[in-house]
Amino acid sequence: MTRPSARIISRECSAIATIAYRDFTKLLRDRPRMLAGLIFPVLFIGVLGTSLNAAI
Amino acid sequence: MSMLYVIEVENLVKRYRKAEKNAVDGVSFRVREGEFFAFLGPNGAGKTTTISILTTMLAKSSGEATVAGFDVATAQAEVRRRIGVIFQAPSLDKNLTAEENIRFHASLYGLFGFRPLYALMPRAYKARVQELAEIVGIRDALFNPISTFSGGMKRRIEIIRSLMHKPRVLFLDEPTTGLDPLSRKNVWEYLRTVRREENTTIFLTTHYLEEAEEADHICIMNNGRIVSSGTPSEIGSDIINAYLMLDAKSRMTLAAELAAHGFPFTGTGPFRAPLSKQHTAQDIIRAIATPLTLLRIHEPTLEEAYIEIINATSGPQANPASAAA
Repeated sequence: MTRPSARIISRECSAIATIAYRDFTKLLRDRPRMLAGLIFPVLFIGVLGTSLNAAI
Repeated sequence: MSMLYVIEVENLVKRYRKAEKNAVDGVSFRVREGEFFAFLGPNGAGKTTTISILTTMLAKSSGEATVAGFDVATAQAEVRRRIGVIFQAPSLDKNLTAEENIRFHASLYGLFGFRPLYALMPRAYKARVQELAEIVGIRDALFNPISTFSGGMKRRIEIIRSLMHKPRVLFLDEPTTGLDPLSRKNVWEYLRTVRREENTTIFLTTHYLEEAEEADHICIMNNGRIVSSGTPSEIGSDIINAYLMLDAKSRMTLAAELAAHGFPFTGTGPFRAPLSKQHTAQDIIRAIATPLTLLRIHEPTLEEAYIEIINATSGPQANPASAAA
């Protein structure tokens, strides 16, 4: 009884790893997306941080 | 479970929410194992809705539909394991290589466990990919990014991807839309090879009627219903008769001669003389003495029959231009 469920879990884990790896690979190969992902948080912290700092 | 018929559809109905009429309205048909089955019809006829139900992407409203012996409503996973689908719009990841697209698809399908590199994949996977890449003639470009591929090459990768798990039925929803004539020809050559070597049943929807000419069986759908079915030649000959096209410098003499011999004809020149068992081409040619400038036997084409059927079943709002699309 445990074998089929173990197989299902293994298959699900493999699918999760596939999707995660696929998305990670896609991100690494998409330079504009990666740059945007790095720049926007810094920009928001800078803009929001400054205005929040001024408000406190 | 019937092994003779790989797809069985009985009185299938689909009505979308808030719709006034059924998108698929009591459709029934069967597809034999290994058959090339073409599903034709104008836009909005219900073809894609039917294919979506058969590929378990859409729930039916009522009726029965089985693929490879499994109910599409209750055994979705079993059905999906036995089918391959090629959609009208390419569904490949452009940032990945062709092989990565295939590998990730195979892993998601549960065919092989996930491995981050091709080199780490099992031998069976490598052999299958190389075998299919050889068939579709894309072996050299297997490790190139999809973004560098032409439309035809993308289609070939989708063919490989859809055949990785050796499906019993391959659903093709307008697979050659947007491809140039040479790419279309190549895609069909590959599909023919695949069908011959893998004995895969092909279920095709298309607007290119010449692609359906080779089908073993055709169903024509209009307004959610099947309005005609049979082999391409049956559909053609049932609707339109073959005729002899004749013309002469002296059209009046030719017309008088045809009338005198009792051959029915239409037109004012060139003339069309319908052929039948009573009036064969030989009978007409033998009887005519007027020197002819044109003589041609016209066999009914599937396209002519299709337009005739769609116009006849579209009601008073029938639009020949849209029917021919």
